[in-house]
Amino acid sequence: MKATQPDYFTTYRSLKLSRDAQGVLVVEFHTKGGPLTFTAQDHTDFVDAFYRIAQDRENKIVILTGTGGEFIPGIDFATFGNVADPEVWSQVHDEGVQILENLANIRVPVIAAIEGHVNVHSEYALLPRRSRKSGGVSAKPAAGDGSDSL
Amino acid sequence: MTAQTAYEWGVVAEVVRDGKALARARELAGLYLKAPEVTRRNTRAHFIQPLKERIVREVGHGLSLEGASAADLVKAMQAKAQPIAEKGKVA
Repeated sequence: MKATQPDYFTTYRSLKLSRDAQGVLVVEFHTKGGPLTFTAQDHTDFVDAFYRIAQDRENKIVILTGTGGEFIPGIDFATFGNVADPEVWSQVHDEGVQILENLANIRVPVIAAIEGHVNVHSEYALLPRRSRKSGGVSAKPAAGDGSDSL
Repeated sequence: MTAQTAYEWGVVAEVVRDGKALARARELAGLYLKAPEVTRRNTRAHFIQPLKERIVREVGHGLSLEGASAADLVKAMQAKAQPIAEKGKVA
């Protein structure tokens, strides 16, 4: 294992990346160390983040999780601008496709460890091969079908 | 929905007690690491393939629908903000 961590570990404002000696990468979604409030910048960042994570063969297992007992409880719509403007939505559309394809292109086991609310972008939690969720808290219905068939 | 409902729908693989999700994920990671790396990578590639295909086929349509809904929402918000006298027909 490399002595220093890769640059991309500290590139994304809303993702805290850490990796142990066995290559288990933990990706914690957060806003300043607390539960994540999703923004347009995150939407742009995650395209690249999932691509870099998939590209780095030192990542042997990837775990996605939230912070502070939540996954992604909120979203700041204002940061996306006027979503009725086709030029604005074009970016959202393109990034949305790229984020999901890049997540699906991670070629090591991905596990989602979900606590609390999955109100925003539940598909990030559901693309992993296995999702584990803690009991008794609310979530919106899933965007896609579950991928865990084992 | 609750975690239990998500589990019953097959949306999640397992439900654990509050606060235990990450620890259980690490446990599973340890289990998976017992398999050789190529086996691990190719198992993931195999199981994600059907979902990847559905994503490529369907996500664009979904995002187009979402965009139309977003525009409709903005339109509704703007209509709400207009003076009442401008709306509706005069008898």
